[in-house]
Amino acid sequence: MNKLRLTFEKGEAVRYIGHLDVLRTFVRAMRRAEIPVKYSEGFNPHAVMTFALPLGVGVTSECELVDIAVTDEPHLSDVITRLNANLAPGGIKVVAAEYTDRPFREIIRAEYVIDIVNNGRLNIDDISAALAQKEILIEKKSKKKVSEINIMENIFESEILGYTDFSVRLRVVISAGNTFNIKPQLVCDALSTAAESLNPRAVFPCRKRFIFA
Amino acid sequence: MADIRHFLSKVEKPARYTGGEWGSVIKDPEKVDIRFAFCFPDIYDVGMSHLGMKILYGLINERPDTYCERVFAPWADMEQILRENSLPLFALETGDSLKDFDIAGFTLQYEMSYTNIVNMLDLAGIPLLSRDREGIFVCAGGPCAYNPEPLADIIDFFILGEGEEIINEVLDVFAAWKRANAPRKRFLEQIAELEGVYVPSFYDVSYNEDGTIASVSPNNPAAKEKIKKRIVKDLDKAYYPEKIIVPYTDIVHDRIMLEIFRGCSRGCRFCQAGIIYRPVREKSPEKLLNLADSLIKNTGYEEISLVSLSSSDYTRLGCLTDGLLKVTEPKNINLALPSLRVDNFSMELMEKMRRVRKSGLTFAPEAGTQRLRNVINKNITEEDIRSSATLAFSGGFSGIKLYFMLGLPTETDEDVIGIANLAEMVADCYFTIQKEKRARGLSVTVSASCFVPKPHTPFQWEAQDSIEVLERKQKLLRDSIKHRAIRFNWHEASVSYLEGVFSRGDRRLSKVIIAAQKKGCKFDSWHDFYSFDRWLEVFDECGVVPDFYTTRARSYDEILPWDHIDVGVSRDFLMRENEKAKKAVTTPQCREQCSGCGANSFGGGVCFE
Repeated sequence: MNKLRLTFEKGEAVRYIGHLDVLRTFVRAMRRAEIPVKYSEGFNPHAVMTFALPLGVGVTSECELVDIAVTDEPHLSDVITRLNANLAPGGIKVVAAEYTDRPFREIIRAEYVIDIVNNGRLNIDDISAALAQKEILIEKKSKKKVSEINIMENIFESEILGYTDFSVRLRVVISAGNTFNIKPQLVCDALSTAAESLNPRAVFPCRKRFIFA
Repeated sequence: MADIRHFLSKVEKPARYTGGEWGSVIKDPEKVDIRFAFCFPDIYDVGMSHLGMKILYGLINERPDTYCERVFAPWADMEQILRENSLPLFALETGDSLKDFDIAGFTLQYEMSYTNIVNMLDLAGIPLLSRDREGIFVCAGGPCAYNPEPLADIIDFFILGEGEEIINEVLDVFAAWKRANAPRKRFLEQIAELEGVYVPSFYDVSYNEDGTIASVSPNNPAAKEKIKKRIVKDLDKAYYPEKIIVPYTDIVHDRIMLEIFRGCSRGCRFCQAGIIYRPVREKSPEKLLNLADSLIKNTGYEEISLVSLSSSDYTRLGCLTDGLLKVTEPKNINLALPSLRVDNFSMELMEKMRRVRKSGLTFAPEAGTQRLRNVINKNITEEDIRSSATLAFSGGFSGIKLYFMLGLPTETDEDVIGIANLAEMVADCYFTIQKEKRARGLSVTVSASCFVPKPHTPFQWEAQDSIEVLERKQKLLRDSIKHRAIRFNWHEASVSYLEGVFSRGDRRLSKVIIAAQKKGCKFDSWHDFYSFDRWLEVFDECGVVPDFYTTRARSYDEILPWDHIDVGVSRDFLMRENEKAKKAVTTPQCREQCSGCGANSFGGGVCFE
């Protein structure tokens, strides 16, 4: 058995599908592409695969990672070509493949570009000021509990990439990983409590890259 | 204008509205002559599970001159967003407004979806009444189209019968009509001449003083006296998609559907499908194995399900399932065999089902006593049920679901209690198997729906039980079930009552459907929005007495609203069957003996085997 690691994009056409939908799409695409996937033993066999970090509904990505157990050692460029020929255009696209063992738990941060469409006129100085603050407290909900965190301690880089009177594009590097993860939407929620004119109508985040420890 | 993308993160399951799935068809709308919208009057999750849509979507999109797209009913959260932001209902492929299409084709799968049709037209900004409409044509087909009358004022034309047989003729006429730039009415006249097309505005209906129909007469030379359904004669030669859309998001039936035959030879007297899909026509195992192979390759699905009204009646089921298992087992694909009968459920078949997945088994005795099963011509015995149940339990199944109907003609309390007794008998079968040889956790589910008399069936003249009677029977059955392992599910009697109104309704109900939508009725088959009281208000305001359509028995000489629709089965046959029902006399199935129903006029299928 070999572990095949794919890097894939989650495009605009599939922005609103959830993690389980991505998984299902992959399983079916691999079947169409006749990739020699290893199936688990047992009565309901399923493809053995692990995603680095589930991506939420509403978020696109250029850097998703998935490990797939394969029974053979298929040629890497062949895997990419065959999978992409079996994935709908504009949706999921495989951009790289490798055989690697580097564990996903080493992911500590992720970079996002976030497009925010605002309700009402946006004062960009509000946002600059908010991003410069030392502390913005916000409630973070997880499955088990709600805790209050300082979002600024989890933003390692931030920058305004562009703006109009009604929208702004931000780049942030924030905490990521399977033990502690910050969603880009939470950053926007926190900023809108601190920046008076920021009142997001819609938020369009895109995950750009993972940062390993 | 507001951008739909700004709202997608605010609705439940936004992927219902974004399309772009594997297998969805991309065309340049500028390069086609006809924009066709296949409209399903329920949410994406339900509509995407519908086989007819997959067939017609594939077939229509094979035409270079036509682009077929999909439109579903938005769930209430999305509807609110559309209304608040003045956004029109749109098609999934291009996002274009439904209003700008040439033809909107609705499929009529169940009566309780009628308000959704009106709601979708309203959301699209399309006039609700056919006579007020310009531009887009609104057509409809599917099983409920065999009594099209309740939608007569709303739908421009109906397509009766199997869509793949006729849709291309309709589109050919449309393309020529559009090129000729002829008046709207001319197109309707041209298609009215096609066999299987019904244009309701070309018929006048008059009524007697007691509210029954006095006459239905054509008011246009293009309109035929009777409109006969169209069928595919040879299913092996008919179009069947080899590539279908694979949704991103979870839907109700998320698998390959392999249709093995159409029609049913059995002739159960309550069953509309058993009549309207006559005659029985099978696909050959060779054709089916080829189709399965392509569909598995093209979709990547992990499950394939045989589709028909009664899978175990397929004449070469052994050969087909052997062939399928050869393909599916090595690929870890599940094979599902639904719709099994108890009188031909075999050890061999059960072994095959076990090899794929041990899900529950469902049988449909429909009635609790032999007498009532004879009345409905179900033609299965208690012994059939006993032996199937024992076989299933000994084969490792521990859950059996049993389907019944309450309110069948001639039903007595004894028949109702008989359901409980039959379920107890099934539960007892489990204990006849040695403890170490049976699976743990016996569960028997009794599911009882309420009988609704359907057009074109032997029971089309019968009175439907009132809500009060049905509720009393439900309580009687609930109280009669003693065994702890038996679970009882029943249907809301008032929903069946409403279904009964529209099932055997006439065109005076169009205004009721429109008024109901205005009052907020929608998704009536969903619990979330259903309100019987609101419906009663609507009937009251429209001056329509719903009991006229439900609890009233019809005489044989009454003109029924659907009498000008010909499904190929004669009124004489239906009357004969109804009389035999009253005497609890059964009729053999088509493969044993021809009962002269009339379906041999189509010149194919089981009638000529």
